[in-house]
Amino acid sequence: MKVRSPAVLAMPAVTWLAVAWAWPLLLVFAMSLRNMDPVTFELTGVTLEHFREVLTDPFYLDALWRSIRIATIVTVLSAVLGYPAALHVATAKSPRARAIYTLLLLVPIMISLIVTAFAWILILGPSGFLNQLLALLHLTSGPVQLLNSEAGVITVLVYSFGPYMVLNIATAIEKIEPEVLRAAAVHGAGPWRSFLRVTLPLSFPGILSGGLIVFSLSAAAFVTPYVIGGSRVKVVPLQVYNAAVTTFDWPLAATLSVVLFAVSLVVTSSIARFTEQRFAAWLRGA
Amino acid sequence: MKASVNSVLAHATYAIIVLPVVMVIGASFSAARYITFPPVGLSFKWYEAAVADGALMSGLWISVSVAVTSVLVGVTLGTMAALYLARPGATGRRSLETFFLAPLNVPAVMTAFALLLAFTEWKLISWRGLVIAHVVLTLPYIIRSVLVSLTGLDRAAQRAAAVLGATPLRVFWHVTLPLIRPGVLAGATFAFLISFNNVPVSIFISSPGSAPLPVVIFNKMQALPEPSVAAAATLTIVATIAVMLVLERKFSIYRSLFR
Repeated sequence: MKVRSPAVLAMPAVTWLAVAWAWPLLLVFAMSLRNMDPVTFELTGVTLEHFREVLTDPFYLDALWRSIRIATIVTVLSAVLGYPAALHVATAKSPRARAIYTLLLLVPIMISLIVTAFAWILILGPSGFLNQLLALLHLTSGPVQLLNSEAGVITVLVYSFGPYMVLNIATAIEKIEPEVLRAAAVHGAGPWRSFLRVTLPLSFPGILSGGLIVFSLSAAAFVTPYVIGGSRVKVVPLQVYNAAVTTFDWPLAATLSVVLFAVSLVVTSSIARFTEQRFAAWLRGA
Repeated sequence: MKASVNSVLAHATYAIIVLPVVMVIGASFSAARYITFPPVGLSFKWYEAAVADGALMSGLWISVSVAVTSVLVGVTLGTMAALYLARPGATGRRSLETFFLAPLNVPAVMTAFALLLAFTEWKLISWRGLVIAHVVLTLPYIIRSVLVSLTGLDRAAQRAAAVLGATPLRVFWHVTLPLIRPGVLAGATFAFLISFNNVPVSIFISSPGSAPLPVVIFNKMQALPEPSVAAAATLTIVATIAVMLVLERKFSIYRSLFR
């Protein structure tokens, strides 16, 4: 029998990703440097003009800043609001309960973003669930503008991506040895103290890994800002979409996506490094 | 312990997770002409309208056929790749793993635009293009899922089979595959759901004739949506949750996919 190298097994997947993903990605980088005739859509020459435009024009800088701001708020809210559920899943007694709660948390991740957006229109709309609830409780005199606002976009993004945070924190909490918590109790720490001094610090790696996922997904989201934010919440992915399929300014769309990619990479990697250093220093008692 | 306070907060979170799903399902049974809250009356007419709607039904068919095809391709490629990566001393394992997981680190909108650029040139703005793109989207998850079930696998049974004269293919089919079936299944179901529900990439690379269901719903929402959209959305929710329930017992592998 002919003996073949087992590396052959990996070849089909490598080829597929190289041709259908890596190569197209290179085309984007190349496209971002092309000059386009606005009338004939013909590509001519090479230029850095689009990068200059995107990085100096307030129209694009505002969108970039808004994308980063929204992603940051969504990440922080996901950690704060998601923590109780993470603790609950991680400390569930029976494996079956744990499985059911995990599946429940997966629902927002798995259902289509467009269905989620549709559902939240029913909740946030002028005569939607939330406004009717507020009116019923006599908390408002008229409908509150929740759609077409940044707050609305943030709410729905937390719903869609927050579960990544919850699952990552839950996994980190599950890894905490029960002996550590028992030791804290033996030494007289109450439940709050043991949570603040033991569980919370030890679950930090989960907050970090969850945070990086939530941040990059939120910064790259365009379906939710498009549907929930309307034309009011201009974020970079929305500008990519508009340039790509509405105005057919492909060099601009390419430049915007390269900038988005770079910013998201720089932010996530520097946060990861910075917080890891601070955390290590803090653990050493600095 | 403060378990009770935490439990209340956690259940509030679960309630908020369920709320939008209930709203959509409720709206789909409304008897009113427009989507209102609370829904008026009870009727199945919007399901009839959805079934009679050519765009929704062809979208559903495209979604299902694209998802099934890309899962079959993805599981084949992904399992092969994972088998190699799990071998002790596989050369280039680190860089290969990085490469396979790299698509997860690129903004979805950039991948989508990249595929639009390439597929326009290659005349792949079609059903076939959707399948190719969805394999790219799901491959990282499939590879990871199969790898999870391959690591820690006792190789003694495979060696025994090989020593007894089984060809590598027979060893795989009769020994390895049954052992890693949970990982393969989890990866396949997860991949199906990603493909079936994807909007950002599909929207860039589908034409009106090849739009999968989520894209059709997206387009219909540009106008004031009829409750038939709620019926179609309910359909995707029910299908998604049904597929997830199949996986209930594989949840630990499932969870490893989100890190």
